[in-house]
Amino acid sequence: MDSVFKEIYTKHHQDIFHFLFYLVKNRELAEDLVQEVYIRVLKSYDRFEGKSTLKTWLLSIARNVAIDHFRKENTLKNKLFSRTDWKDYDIQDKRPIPEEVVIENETIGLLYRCLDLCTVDQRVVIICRYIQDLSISETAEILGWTESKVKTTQHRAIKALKKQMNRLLEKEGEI
Amino acid sequence: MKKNPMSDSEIAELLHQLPSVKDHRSMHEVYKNIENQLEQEKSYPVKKKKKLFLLPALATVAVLFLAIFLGSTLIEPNELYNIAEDVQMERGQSLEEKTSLPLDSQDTANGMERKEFGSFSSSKEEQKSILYEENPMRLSIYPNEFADDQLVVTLGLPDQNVQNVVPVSILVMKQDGKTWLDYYQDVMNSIDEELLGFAEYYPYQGELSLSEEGNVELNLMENHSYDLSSTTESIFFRSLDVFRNQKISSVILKQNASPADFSHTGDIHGEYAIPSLAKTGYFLFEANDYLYLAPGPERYEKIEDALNAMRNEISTHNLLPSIPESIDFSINDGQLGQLIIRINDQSKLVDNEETARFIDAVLLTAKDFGYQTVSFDNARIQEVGKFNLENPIEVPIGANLIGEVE
Repeated sequence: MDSVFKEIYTKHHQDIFHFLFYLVKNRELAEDLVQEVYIRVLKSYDRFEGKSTLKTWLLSIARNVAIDHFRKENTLKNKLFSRTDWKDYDIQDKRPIPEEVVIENETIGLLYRCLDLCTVDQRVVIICRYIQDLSISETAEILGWTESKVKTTQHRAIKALKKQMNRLLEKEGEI
Repeated sequence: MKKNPMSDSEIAELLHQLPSVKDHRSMHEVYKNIENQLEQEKSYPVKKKKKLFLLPALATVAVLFLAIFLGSTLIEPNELYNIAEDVQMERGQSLEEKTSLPLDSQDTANGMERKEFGSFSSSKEEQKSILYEENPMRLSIYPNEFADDQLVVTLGLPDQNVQNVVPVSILVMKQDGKTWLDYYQDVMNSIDEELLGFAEYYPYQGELSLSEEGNVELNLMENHSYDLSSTTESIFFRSLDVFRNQKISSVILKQNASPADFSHTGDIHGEYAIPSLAKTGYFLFEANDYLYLAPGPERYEKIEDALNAMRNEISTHNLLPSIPESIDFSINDGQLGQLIIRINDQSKLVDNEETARFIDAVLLTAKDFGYQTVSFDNARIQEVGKFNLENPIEVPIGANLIGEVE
């Protein structure tokens, strides 16, 4: 077995999977994509300069893999656009929530679905910052952005999630 | 259910509580899959695909050659001539039919007509969608920022109050056999102005084409709405101004094959001459939470006047100042079309969004006055955002890069 693979699997496999899962919200797809990440990593490991940590480097590749997938799926436009459509947008994702995410807490379930309404960039920032607990500077490294852009995007994402959550909660309250 | 609206921190707290999800596969299983995938790639390299075209193409050429060669020996020369003429006539007719189809369907809804035009101009391939930049800083795109096989398409988008026409740029990949106008039309067909916070405007109510001399021709629908008032006319002409970026100096305007008339803003008969230099200033304009740099409504004699105006808002047009109060400078003309901006000793440039927008606005304005480069002297800072102030900066290719088409 390739030693690079072994090292990455042992140290970071679950992180990459977790990251991809929340980005695509589909177990099988996340499994495929995580393999694609390894393939790209094995082809370019010698280009890893050690400027960033191995984990941020891996996650930046994972992000690119996911974005390429979205492009292929040709749905990126809609996802990127969802930001502007809050009012009329109803959550279309009727896929069953995977067993891990079967949520005792209804509010968290709602939030999980609301993630779909973030743009891809916003979702990456949310995953890095809140789900993977990475710092602003690590997130900036993954995205190749400035820290201020990460902050702005994070702020927008939270604002967007809040707006949508409050709208849905209010709706449920009425029923 | 909760009554009080949730706060930012409550959302953040909930996000932390999202359950962690694990891949249940073993290391060996994953490794085996990857090995298989790599094996497959090895046995079916992607490059092979292209060569498949060669054989059928050669066969087609050979068949055509034989057909013409054998055909011409069987048919009398005269007949051959007649057939060619017939074919030509038929082609001419069908083209006429096609172009007149949308013009005839005036009673259908606007959207329908637009679709007709859209599919007519690019029926051969599927529409590619625009990937919009998430970057909150939608600065201009500069000569060193794109490759030779890419083209910058700039369109002027009228705002929702129909006061400003904001140029936005989209980077497209070039393909063989397409003219620059084809890319403009692709973008016009796919851009969603309303989602960007602008007024729905494109594609044009008519058909764009390139004349043999390389001029742009716009064959307008009979019931087009561009000549309704002085506002619609001026917005329309300002939208045509973007063709300046493609070195086009005038647009031929036709309606039913005869020159189209516009009488509200001067007397325009069949041709709109694009002013060679816009000579305007650039101001901040906000749409859907994004900031753009938009040309102001006035033309200025001198660039000093434009830059001075850019310190103040134009409240009638919702335009905000693009030059911060804290930045003071003097200007000079350098050699070879260079504008020299000398920052005063009292002003301190900070590497932030505001300064980057100021630099971008100055560069756009300089371009509109015919300058090639701008040098920021005495800046006492090397970089502001993507701008390196140590050397003169070339003026941008297109304002407000909003996205790209791959």
